[in-house]
Amino acid sequence: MSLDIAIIAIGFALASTLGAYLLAAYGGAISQNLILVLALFAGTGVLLATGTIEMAGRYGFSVVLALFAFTMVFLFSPLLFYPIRRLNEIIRFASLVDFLTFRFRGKVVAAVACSSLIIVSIPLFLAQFLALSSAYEFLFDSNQWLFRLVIVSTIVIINWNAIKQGMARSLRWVMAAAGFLLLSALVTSALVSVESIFGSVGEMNQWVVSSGQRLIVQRMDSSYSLFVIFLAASFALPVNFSIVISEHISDNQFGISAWAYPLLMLVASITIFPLLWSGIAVQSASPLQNYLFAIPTLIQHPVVAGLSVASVVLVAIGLLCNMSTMLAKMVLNSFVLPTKALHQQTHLNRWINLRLLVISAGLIVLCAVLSNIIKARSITDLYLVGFSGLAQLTPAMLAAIYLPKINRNGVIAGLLGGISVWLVTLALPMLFGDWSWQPPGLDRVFTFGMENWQAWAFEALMVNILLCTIFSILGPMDKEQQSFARLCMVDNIYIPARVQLSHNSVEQMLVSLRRLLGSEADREIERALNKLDLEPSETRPAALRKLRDSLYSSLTLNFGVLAAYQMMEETLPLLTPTRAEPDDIYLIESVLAIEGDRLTGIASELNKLRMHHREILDNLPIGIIALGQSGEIIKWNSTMARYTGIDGETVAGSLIGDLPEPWHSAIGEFLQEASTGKDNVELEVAGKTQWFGLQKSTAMSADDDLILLVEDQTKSVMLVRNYINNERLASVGRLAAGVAHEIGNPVTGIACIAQNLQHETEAAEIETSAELILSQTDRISTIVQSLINFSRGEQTYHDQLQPVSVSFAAEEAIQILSLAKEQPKEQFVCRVDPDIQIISDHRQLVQIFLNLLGNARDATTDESPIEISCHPDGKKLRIMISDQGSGIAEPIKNQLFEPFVTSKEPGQGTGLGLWMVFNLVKNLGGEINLSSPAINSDRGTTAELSFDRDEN
Amino acid sequence: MFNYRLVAVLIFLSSVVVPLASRWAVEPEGSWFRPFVVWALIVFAAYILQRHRKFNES
Repeated sequence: MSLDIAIIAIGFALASTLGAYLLAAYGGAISQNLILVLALFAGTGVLLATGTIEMAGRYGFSVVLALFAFTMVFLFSPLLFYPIRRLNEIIRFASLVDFLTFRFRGKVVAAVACSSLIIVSIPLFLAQFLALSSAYEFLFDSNQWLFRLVIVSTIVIINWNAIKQGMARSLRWVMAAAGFLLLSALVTSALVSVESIFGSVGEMNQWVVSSGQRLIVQRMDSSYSLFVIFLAASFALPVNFSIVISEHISDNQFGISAWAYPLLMLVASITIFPLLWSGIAVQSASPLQNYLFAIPTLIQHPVVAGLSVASVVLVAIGLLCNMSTMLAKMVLNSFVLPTKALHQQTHLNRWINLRLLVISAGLIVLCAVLSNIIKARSITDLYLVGFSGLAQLTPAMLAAIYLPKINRNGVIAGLLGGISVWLVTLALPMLFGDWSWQPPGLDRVFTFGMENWQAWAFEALMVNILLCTIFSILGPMDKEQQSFARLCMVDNIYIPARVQLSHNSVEQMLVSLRRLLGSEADREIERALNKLDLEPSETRPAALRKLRDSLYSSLTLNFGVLAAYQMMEETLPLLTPTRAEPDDIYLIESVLAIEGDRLTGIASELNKLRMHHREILDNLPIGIIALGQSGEIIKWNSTMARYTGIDGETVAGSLIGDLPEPWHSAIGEFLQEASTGKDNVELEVAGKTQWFGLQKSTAMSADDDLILLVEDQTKSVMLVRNYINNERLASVGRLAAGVAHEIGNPVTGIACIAQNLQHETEAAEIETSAELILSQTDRISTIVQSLINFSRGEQTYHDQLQPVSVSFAAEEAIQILSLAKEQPKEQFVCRVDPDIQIISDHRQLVQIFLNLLGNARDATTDESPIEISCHPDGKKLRIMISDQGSGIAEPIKNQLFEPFVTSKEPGQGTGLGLWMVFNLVKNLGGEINLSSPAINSDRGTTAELSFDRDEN
Repeated sequence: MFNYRLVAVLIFLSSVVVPLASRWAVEPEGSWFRPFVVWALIVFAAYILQRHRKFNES
C-alpha cells in the first residue's frame, strides 16, 4: 500500500504543478490572483499540514488564535505593508534585509540583519526536512540518505531554473500548486476521517462532548504567547515580504489577499480539530504531526493519503526552494556584491546567477545535514523556535516606519542581543538538547530549551527591544540616518531633492551605465524610459533625475541597496550631496495634487492655502518664471504658458537653454545682464510681433530662487506708437488747415477776378475759360473747406446733433479720399438722395465715411465699384457701404471693433480705424454692423450703419 | 495624516468586540467551531472593507 500511496502522491504532485504552470502561463487575472493567494497560503510551509495538528493537541484552541494572528498581517496591512509598499514605489526592496539596510544605512546593518534572518530561518528549513523525512519514513521505513539526495537535487534543479528565469514568477506557481494540494489534502482528509471514524459531523460533535475533548481543547493557557509570536513572525516571514513587497503585486491583488489569505487559513484551520479527534478516536500510534496522511492510510483511503503525502512533500520543497533562493539573494546583496568590482565581470547576470545557486544549494545541503543530527524531532518545536527567532526582526521593521529616533546602533544592538538570547535559550538546545545553568550565587537553575519556550521567546524579544531603545537614546544619529528615517516614515511623501546630475542627456547616462552593466544597461534604460514615458532624446534635468531614480530603484531590486548605491555613485554620481539640495517644489506640487485628498486637519487647511496661492500666481495677468540655483525652471505660471504656448508641465525642470526661440535668447540674454528690468523687448511670437517687459528679482542669498516677471506690453507699445502717429497727423492736419486758410484767400481773389472777367468780356472763349476757372476755384474751395472741417475734430454731445445730409457727407469723404491716392472718384458710387437726412454730426459722419470707404478701397484690388446706399427702416435709416473686395479674414471677424486689430500688412494699418468708427457711431447714437461676404454677394464686405432719420 | 478612523476602530475592537467575541467563542457550553465563526466574520468584514476601498478608488 505504501508504494501505491507514493505513486498516487507523485501523480498528484505532477498534476498540480502542471495545472498551476498552465494556469500561470495562460490564465487571466482571476487565475493570477488565485495563484498569488495559494502561493501565500503555502508560505507557511508544513506548519498547517503537520505542525498545527500537534499544536492543537498541545495547546487546544490557542492554535486557532495563533493562526489567526498569523493572518492578521494582511488584515492589518494598512499598518505595515501599505507604508512599505508606498516606499517600494520609489526604491524596490528585494528583501526585508534590503529594507532595513535602506532605512538604517550601512554594511553592518545589512550583515547583522542578513545573518539574523538566515539563523532564524534554519529551524524552518529543518522543519521542512523533518516533514519530508516523516512522510518518507511513514511510507517506507528505510534508510533515508537516497531520499534526501533526491530531495536536495530536486531543490537545486528547481532553484537553478527559477534563478535563470527570474525567481519570483517561476517559484510562485510551484508554491501555488503546493498551496492547492495542501488545502485539498486538509479538507478531504478531514472529511473522509470524520465520515469513516465518526459517521458524520454531528456524531463527531457528540463524541467531542462525551469524551471530554471539548474541555481539553478549549483551554487557552498559551494563547497570548502564541498570538504575539505568530503575529510578530508573520511580519518578518520572508515569503510574505517577497510576495507582497518585492514582487510588486498590484494594489488590487494586495487588496484581495487581505481577505482571501485569511479565508484559506480559516478553511485549513477548521480541519485541524476533526483530524486530531479522528486520530485520538481510533487511537492512532502515529505521531500527531503525521495525522494528515496517517489517518487516511489507517482508514484505507490510499488516494487521500497520497494526496496528503503529495501536499506535504510539495509544500516542503516549495518553501525550501523559495526561502533558499531568497536567503541566497540576501547573502549576495549584503555580503558579496558590495565588495566586488562588478564592472570587471564580463557576464554579470550569469556570474550573479551562479553565485545564487551555490549559496542556495549550500544552505539546503547544510540544513539537510543538520536535520539528520538535531535532537528535536517535533515540527511544532521547530516552528515555535523559528517563529520566535523571526519575531526578533519585527521591532526593527516597525521602528523603520514608525520610530524615526531609532538608529543604526540601536537596531544592531537589539538584533544581536535578541538573537543571542534566542540562540542560547532556544535554538541551540533545539539542535543539541536542553541544558541547564545555575548562575553563581543564585539558588535558581535556568533550563534552556522548549520546556520554557514562551518565557525565553519573550525574554529574547524584550532584550531586543530594550537594547534597541537604550542604544538609540544614547547613540548619536547622523544626518544621513535622519534623512532616511524621515523618508521611511509611515506618513512621509517622498519628494526627490533637486540634485544636479553629472550627465546632461540619456545618451550620456547610457554610456556611463554601460561601463558597469554592459548590454544590460541598454535594457535598464529602455525599461526606465518606458515606465516614465520619456524619450531617449530627453535632456531636461528634472526628467533625467526621474530617470536616475528609476534606474536606482531597478538596480536596488536586482543588486540590493548597498551595491546599487555604489553603482550609482560610480556611474551616475550627483554633483552635490543630496541633503544639501532643496526639495523639488514642482514635484511636491504634483505629489500634493495627487495625494492631497489624504491630508487631514491642519495639513489639509495648509494644502487649501497652497492651492489658493497657486491659483493667484497662475491667474496673475503677468508671466512668472521661478528658476532654481541650477537654472532649472521650477515655476511657469499659466499666463506664461499663454504668452509662449508652452505648457507648464512640459517646461518644468527644464533649463532656460531648452526653451524654443525667441524665449531662449530673450530670457537667456536678460539673465546675463546686470540690470533688473528691461522694457519693450520685441519678440516674434507665432508670426506676430509682440513686445514684452522683463523684470527679475535680486536674490537675497545664494540659496534663493530667481523670479522672472514677463509682461506683455504690446498694447501699450501700440498705443504709444499710435499716439505719436496721431500727434504727427494732428500736426499735419493743423498745418493743412493753416495752408487751406491761406490758400482760401488767393482762391477767393482768383474767383472774383474770374467773375469780373466773365462779366467784362464778350468773347465766348474767354467767357468759357472764366467759367472753367470759376468751377475749378469752386472745387478748390470745397476741398479747402473739407480740410478745414476735418481738422476740427471735436467731441459732439447728443443734444448738439442736427439734421445732416448723408449724401453731402459721403461726397465730402469721397472728395478727401480722392485727394489721398491716385484713384478715380468714379469708383465710389453714391446712390443716396441728397434730401435724405439723419440726425448726426456732419464732421463725425464724414470721418465715419472716410474710414469705412478707405477700408473698402484698400480691400478692393480691381476697379469694382464701392457703393453707398440708403434704406429707410421705420424711424431709422440704414446706410450700406458695400465693396467687392477681399472681405474680412475669419480669425478676426469677432474682434473687428477692438483696437489694434487689422488684417493689413504691418505698417499699412494701425488697427484703430474700425475701433474709432465704432466709437463715433456709438457717440452719435447709431449702430454699426459688418457683414462679410457683402449682402447679396459672395465676396466683399458690407458695412451697415443705422441712424435716426430726420422726419422733417 | 494621522489615521484617526483606524485608531478609533482599533480601540473599539480591542475594548469591546474582542473581549465579547473571545468570551463567546470559548464558552465551555459552546460548540467547538465557535472560534471559527468569529474568524469567518472578521474575514467577511475584511472583504467588505476591501470592496469599499476598491469602490472608492475606482
